[in-house]
Amino acid sequence: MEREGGDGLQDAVQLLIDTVGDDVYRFCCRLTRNRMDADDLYQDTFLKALEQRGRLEDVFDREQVESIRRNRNFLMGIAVNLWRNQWRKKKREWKHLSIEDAEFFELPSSEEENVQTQLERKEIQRRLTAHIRALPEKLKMVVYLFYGAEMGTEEIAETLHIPQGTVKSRLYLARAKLKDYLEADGYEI
Amino acid sequence: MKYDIEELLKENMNIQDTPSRELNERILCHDRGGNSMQNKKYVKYMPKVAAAALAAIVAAGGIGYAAVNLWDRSVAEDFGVAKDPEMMQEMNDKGFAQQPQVSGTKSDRVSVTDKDITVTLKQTLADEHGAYVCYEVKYGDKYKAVDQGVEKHPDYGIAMPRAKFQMDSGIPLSYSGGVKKVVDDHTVLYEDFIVTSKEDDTLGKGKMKMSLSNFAIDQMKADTKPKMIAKDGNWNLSWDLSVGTEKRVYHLNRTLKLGKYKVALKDLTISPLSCKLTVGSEGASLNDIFAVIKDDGEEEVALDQNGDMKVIRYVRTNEENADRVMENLPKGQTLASLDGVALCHDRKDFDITGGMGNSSSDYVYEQFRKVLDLEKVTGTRIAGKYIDLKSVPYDTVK
Repeated sequence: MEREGGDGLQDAVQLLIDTVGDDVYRFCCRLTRNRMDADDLYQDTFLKALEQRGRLEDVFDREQVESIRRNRNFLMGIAVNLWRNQWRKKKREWKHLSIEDAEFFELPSSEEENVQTQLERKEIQRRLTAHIRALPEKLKMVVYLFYGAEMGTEEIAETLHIPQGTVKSRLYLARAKLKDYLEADGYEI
Repeated sequence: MKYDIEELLKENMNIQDTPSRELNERILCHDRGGNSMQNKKYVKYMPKVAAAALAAIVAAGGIGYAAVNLWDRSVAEDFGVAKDPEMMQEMNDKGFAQQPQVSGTKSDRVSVTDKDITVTLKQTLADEHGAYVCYEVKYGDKYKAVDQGVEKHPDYGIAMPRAKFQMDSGIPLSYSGGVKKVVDDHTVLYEDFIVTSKEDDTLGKGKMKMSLSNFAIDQMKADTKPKMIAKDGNWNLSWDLSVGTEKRVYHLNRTLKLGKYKVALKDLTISPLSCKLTVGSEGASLNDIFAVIKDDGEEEVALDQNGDMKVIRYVRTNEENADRVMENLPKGQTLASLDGVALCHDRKDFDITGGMGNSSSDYVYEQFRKVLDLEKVTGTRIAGKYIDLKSVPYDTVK
């Protein structure tokens, strides 16, 4: 992505936003569960990516699906690292900031469900969100990348620099833990 | 009802948000060189309380007297200067501290009431890389304050809070933490901390804009249980931010050996509110180097900064290892890594950190949580290693 002169870089940034911006932003929302933090993380992710623009693939051709995919994964990898860094610091330095501070109070609902079912689904999703947040970092990130970023295990392995087998075992472990937690809450899973 | 964990997880992650145009524009603007993207005009406003305070200053004999007496008490206590009027005065004189209600211009908008909720700016503290903004939220009699602000989210209902901050220079800012204090049933005090997102950016002088669009309130209906709702409104404040620029730049120019890695320590820049260490490292990215020790059981645990445990080795570690180290951090111990710099007096660390920390491949930044008296600094501790600053040349930059 070496088009520094004139509007070249800006065109490239615009195209990067056009091609992967929404995906990256949604991923930031999933990580942070807080729109303000998501905005910050999204912005910081792009700024960090631009600092390392040599590692971005040329995306001038929108048809270059593989390049777009690589850029998307590259940006999500940056978002993961930035967020882990921030969260670690918050845990270490901001003792007053409880994990609840980062939760939404309500979750989305489907209009097709009746009110009772909606309430029940919201409650189980609220609990699931809290349980995901409480997972060990290494399990949590795999869950976010697999279900949130819809990455395959190979892509996650590439992004987190860990073996694919480790990704699979973590996914398995995460699902098992979450199932246990929800069952302990009284739900039938 | 039986649930499927796969289905629940997919549903849980089903978010359809997209970044706002303003947010994308901010990234693009920054790449154009950080020019302003908003030039909203605000109504000229100067609250009565500001006018009264200004009159009090004049009556008391000048701004010097006022600077000390107008510091917000809570901020003064939090930043460790409540019993140090000279330091409060100095912070005002050098532009680090500001009470915009008093020092601001007519175009400032420092107190706004909407929907029976009043947001009033109390005090700011700012250097070139970060700012603290203290503001008070006062709720009308019918509402009871809850200790959160909120953001109404289209998909999620009520979400967590925050004021949005923007400089008219358009430089990207990051929220780095905050403190909320419930003063009474109708009053909450917030301290929000902001830093520049990019290393090379500086806050500079200019208009700071702060906006809030809703708050969480308890409706206090007698016949029902407390019910939190979001109250929508527009609370847009703006003022000329005062930014202190004085700093000391120590030219360390030495190499720190961390196991097999060498880290070149270049300059250490200190202001009363933050410090920045510029470095260069060989063979590893700065973020990759963490101090790690092994205990008798060969389990990796973190270095005890008090020196009670012997450092066996420094390793290049990825995020994975760093997480493990953090997870295994024994109670009462602190991870010593290069993303932390302590400043010392007589080898004793000042208790000043706790705000935003940040690092990249070539710098480490710490936003302090207390005001640092630069005159008292005699040393620094970087990755657990002490450096006497008394013999290190420095420049004072104003």
